[in-house]
Amino acid sequence: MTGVFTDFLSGLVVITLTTGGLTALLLLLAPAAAKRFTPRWRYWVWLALALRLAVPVHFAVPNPPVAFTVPALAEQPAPRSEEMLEELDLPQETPVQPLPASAANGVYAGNIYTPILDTAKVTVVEGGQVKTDWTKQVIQWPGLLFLLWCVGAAVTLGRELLRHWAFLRLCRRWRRPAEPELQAESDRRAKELGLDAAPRLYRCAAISTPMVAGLFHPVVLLPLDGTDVLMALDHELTHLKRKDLWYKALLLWVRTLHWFNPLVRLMCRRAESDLEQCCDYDLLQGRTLADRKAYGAALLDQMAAGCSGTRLTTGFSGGKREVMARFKALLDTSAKKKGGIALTLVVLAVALAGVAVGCYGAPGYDRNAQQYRNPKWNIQMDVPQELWDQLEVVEKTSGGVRHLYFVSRALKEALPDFDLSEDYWVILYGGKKNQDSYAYGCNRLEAVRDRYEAAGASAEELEALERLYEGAHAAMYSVVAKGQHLEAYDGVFRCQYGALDFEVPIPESLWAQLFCIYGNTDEFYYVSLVSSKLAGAVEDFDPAEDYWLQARYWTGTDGERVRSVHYGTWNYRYEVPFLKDSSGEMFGQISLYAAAPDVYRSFVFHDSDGGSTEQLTGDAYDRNTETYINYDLKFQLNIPAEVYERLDIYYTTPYKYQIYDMQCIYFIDRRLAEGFDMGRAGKHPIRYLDENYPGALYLCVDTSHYPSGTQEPAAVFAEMPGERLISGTDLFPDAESIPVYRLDGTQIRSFHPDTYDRETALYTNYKLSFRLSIPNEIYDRLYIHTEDTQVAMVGTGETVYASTVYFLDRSLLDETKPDVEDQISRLILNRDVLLTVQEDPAGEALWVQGVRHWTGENRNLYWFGHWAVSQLSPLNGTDLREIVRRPGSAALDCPDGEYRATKSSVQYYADENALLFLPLSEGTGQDACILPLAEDAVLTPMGNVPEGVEVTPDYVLSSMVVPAWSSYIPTLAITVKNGEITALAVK
Amino acid sequence: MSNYPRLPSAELEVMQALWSAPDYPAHSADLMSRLDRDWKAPTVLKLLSRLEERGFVGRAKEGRANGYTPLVRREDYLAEESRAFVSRFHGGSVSSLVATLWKNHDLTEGDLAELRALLEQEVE
Repeated sequence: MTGVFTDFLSGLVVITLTTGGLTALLLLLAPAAAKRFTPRWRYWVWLALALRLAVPVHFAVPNPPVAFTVPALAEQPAPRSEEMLEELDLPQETPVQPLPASAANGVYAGNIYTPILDTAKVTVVEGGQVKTDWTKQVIQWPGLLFLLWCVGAAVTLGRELLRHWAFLRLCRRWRRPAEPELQAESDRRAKELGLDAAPRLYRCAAISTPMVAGLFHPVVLLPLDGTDVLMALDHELTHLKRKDLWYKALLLWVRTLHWFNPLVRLMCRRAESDLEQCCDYDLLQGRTLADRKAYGAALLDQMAAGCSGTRLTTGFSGGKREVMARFKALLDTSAKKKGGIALTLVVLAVALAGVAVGCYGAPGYDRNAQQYRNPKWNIQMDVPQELWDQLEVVEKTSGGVRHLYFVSRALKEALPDFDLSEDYWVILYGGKKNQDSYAYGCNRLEAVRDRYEAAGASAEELEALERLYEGAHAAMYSVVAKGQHLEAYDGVFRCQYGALDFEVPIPESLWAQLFCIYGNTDEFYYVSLVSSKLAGAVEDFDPAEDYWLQARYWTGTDGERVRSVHYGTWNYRYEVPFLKDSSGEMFGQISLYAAAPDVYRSFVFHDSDGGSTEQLTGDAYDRNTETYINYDLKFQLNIPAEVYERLDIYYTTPYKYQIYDMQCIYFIDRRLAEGFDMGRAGKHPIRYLDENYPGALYLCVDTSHYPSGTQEPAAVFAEMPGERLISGTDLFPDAESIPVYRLDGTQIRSFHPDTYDRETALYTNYKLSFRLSIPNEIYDRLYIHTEDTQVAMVGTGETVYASTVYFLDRSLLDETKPDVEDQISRLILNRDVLLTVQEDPAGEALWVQGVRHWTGENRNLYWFGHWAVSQLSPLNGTDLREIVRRPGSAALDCPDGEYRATKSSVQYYADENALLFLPLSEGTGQDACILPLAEDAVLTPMGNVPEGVEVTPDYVLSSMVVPAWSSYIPTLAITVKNGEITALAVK
Repeated sequence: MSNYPRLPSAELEVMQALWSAPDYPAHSADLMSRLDRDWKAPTVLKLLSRLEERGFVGRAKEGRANGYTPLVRREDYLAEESRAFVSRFHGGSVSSLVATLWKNHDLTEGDLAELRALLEQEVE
């Protein structure tokens, strides 16, 4: 409850002080304003202030520039029973019972808590009689102040309302309806003014001045005589039109709330008098001075007449000045400004003044709610009273980060080497720029227990300490900062941090061993669930790396946001602080870590649009069978446990995973990849690893080749680590056959960095990331050689190595000889290469060069070198880099003449510029030749080409496909002249 | 100390009608026309007889009809009630939830003269 009173009172205090300050200023400026601005200006100003004052709810910006605490608004600690027993000098073993039920002998102690007063009472009954009666009371100021405020406000409001009702009752007794012609006149004027409902008019004997009363059903009351009725009507109806009675009601409310602030009362009085001036002003708008004088004279007459007599007078004593001011104002014909800008400034000042100031009750412990509260930080933590009594709070700020240390008082006193930053129970800290949240320290029982014992703690004291630390976990998770639990646990751990919004079910037994740390490294933000024991025991513990489960997010190089989740693997250095343990289990840590993959699998990210994505958590390691299983990519792999523990598995799931249809898993040996960061590796992690951490890449599973229609990986690619890695070769003795299986146990074909699939006639090169169709008979004649060629960088002339693949004619090599390498080099030097594919050293392009010079005989190969240039394509989504194509330069002529062919007699290969003839089998009397299509080549149909068959050079050259419904078998007649196709005829 | 008993509102209405009559004694028919209510004659006569009992009204027979004369002056009775109000809520205005044409500020004759002078002197 105290918190509610504190919040309310501190809000009220801030509002009344800040607005009061502004009010004082404006009251001083009011005369100057009266000269320059219309009375309306003051009307609006007071209205702005009144509205702010009327709502005693205060919002300050976080970390307001002006902040003060009001100690009176803090809970006072209630007296403790130990204190009382000490004061009464009773021995500690005296049994203490709750407050008396009967007069039996004994010691009774109890507390009574009310919002205003905390009482502790001890009664000692001996020999059937009350021997000692001891009472200690502590006033709770927030409750008391609130009560006082309530009383003041109630009195203020009550008095005014009573007076109003008594007055109205009196008037009702003495009123009679006004003359009908008067009522009619009033109705007419009301309509002219635009009032919704014309008020009833009454003559009332009890009043001396005309008035209007009633918020919902207003009536106009006129004195029996002495009144300039028409003028009165105008005036009162104008009040009604302006809804001035509501304005006055608002002022009454404000006076009620801020009854203790004389500035506010002063402001209200001023506002009411300005209200009259406003009404006059509206009435007299545009009137001449003569009219105004008449008005003033009529007013004065009525005042003079009304002053005498016994009837009720209105107004208060003193304030002749007010009357003078009113008269001066109504005679004032000078032009006045509206003062819009000034008004805006005032309104802004009113709005901002409150927001920039924060008022807080001092931090303290609420015994009723059993909660620690710090209003300034807007943070609270549940701590049971018996634990709180053992604690002390130390507040420190360093480097812009605020720390609240909760330490055991007994420990602090007992340990000579007590260090606040190490021997804490719980830390709450926050205020960092990037994170507007609070992080927690962990309980560190292990760090303090032995030292406490060595310092001479008794068994009970040690027990108390243990109980204290056991309660740390629950306390930490009860923390509500800025009105929100940072995370919540109800069998499912839910958390929101930056772009991470997730939940994961965690069994209670695991949860009790964990706690959550938020943070960021240079590359990513993370939420780490860490083992509290480890965090407390391992010296260089880093939550960014030593996590049990971690969710990360970072912004990729393309600006996309990437989220990922990882489970921790056991690190050998965790064992060090636990060597003393005899259980061999290292305080349950091994079991804890073994349970991580299961939890990982049910991790769920929530999408920002409210949907939730099932985290692709389908991988786990089964220690019994030593199998790594990936449910998403649907493969499994045997990895010995001691190898697995050395591996870091990087598995990235881009936010918009449609962009890349590839998933990649990298198994990286941690020992060889110290400092490796997947975020930095960018798009080419394999190359990055090769260059910076040779041998560290253990295995890469690239799943970009799904057989169409299935979601299973068709290819698994392993980058062989080489002899440098001791155990890698054991795993994969045969580079051609890596034992990766589907979930049903069938083996997935695995390929070396480049592979050729005979069935699909597809050659895939992983290293340079391209694929190419090669007919089987061509492939068998090829010799594919890969090497890193020296090239000069354009511009700098610097020499670098570029990976190059050379497609050579096997028939030009004698593979039986030992100097094959030399032969290859010679061929390359002579440019006797069918096809060259080279990687731009900067990695941005792939250069493809067709056949340049060729001494071979097989024309099919020659064709391949030419044709492959346009056929080569990048691997799907792997590398979106440019392919720079340079067609071959060597020619392959066809003699002039006419050629005929149907599809069955000849193989056609064509691109948009040329047609290649290849004899189906040797000995048809026709060699392969390439026939470029002349620009002005003529295409003529010979004879009847059926309808629906479109004949264009492209059609002819590239498809020769006949629609299914047709039985048409096209015959092609080609005229070659000077080595070019000059005419094409289709029949 | 109060001189007069407090009249119930119905009786006060009848008194107000009586006070507003130009001549005395007034007749009940005249009074009924001055009332703003639909009371029938017996009701009005009943109220008048109660007022008579209290000593507020004097009745005289004039032929067949009765003539009624007020025995208490309105100003006196009104002053009594007003004073009661003022003594309960002395000081300040009658109510802060009404809007009046003018406020009394205990102006002296001198003040009034000053204000008149102000009105006269303002020349364009």
